[in-house]
Amino acid sequence: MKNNTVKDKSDAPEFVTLRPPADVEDTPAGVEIAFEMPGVKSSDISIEAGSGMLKIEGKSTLQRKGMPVLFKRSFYISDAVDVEKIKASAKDGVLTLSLPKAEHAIPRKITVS
Amino acid sequence: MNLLAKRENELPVELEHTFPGVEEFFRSVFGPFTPEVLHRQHSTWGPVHDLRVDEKEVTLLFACPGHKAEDFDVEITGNLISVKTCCDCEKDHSAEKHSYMFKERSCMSFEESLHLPVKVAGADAKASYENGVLKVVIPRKLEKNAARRTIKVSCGK
Repeated sequence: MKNNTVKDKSDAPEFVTLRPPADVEDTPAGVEIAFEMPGVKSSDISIEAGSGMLKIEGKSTLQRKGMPVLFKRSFYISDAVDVEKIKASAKDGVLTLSLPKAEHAIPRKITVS
Repeated sequence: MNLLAKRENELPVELEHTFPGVEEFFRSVFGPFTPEVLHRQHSTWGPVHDLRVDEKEVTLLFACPGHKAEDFDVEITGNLISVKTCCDCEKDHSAEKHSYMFKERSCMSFEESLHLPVKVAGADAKASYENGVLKVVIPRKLEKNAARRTIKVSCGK
């Protein structure tokens, strides 16, 4: 069957998409990423992690050229990250993500007897 | 071990989808003189401000993520507003203390002054800081309607 569906874009919200600046810090426990996302409430942030990707998105109350700002950024992550234990917190316009190392990625000390 | 192993999606989403690789090409040719249009998706949130004027008040928004409310000094003199902030972020986030894989944020002190386009009642201004945005609301000073005067244009002769 031929698909004649035409997408109606008139209702689609328009955003100005910006890539938020980020600091990525290597810690013994894993990686910490801090994104600058001014004007974004914690309830307006969506974070997806899986299939080797980490995607963050946040709708801001700020505007550019009369349109609301959407912060959007994605990273490739290795399988050394324990996706189930990723934690996120937002404060003063900064979103902080903690990506802990997976069990198998933590180096173990082996004592030589 | 690099947990962000393979690579990072550095290119802006829209541009990358439309013209894959075009940004890298321009950067390799023009370097720091890359056309500004290619940077439009890259946010550089310094004290970016937004000014809104309506019938009753003037609203100023400054995007300053990572600060605290007590870091700000806001002064209004006549139609001139000055916003100043100083914080210890630079010391706290120095590369010596942290092992950054990369660092793009620039949480730093700044001072900015702006001439407002209308007369305001600075004494009644209010400021708040929420979600990394400093908001200053200043009521407009009501101007008395100037007396209307009609001037007749006479013929040159």
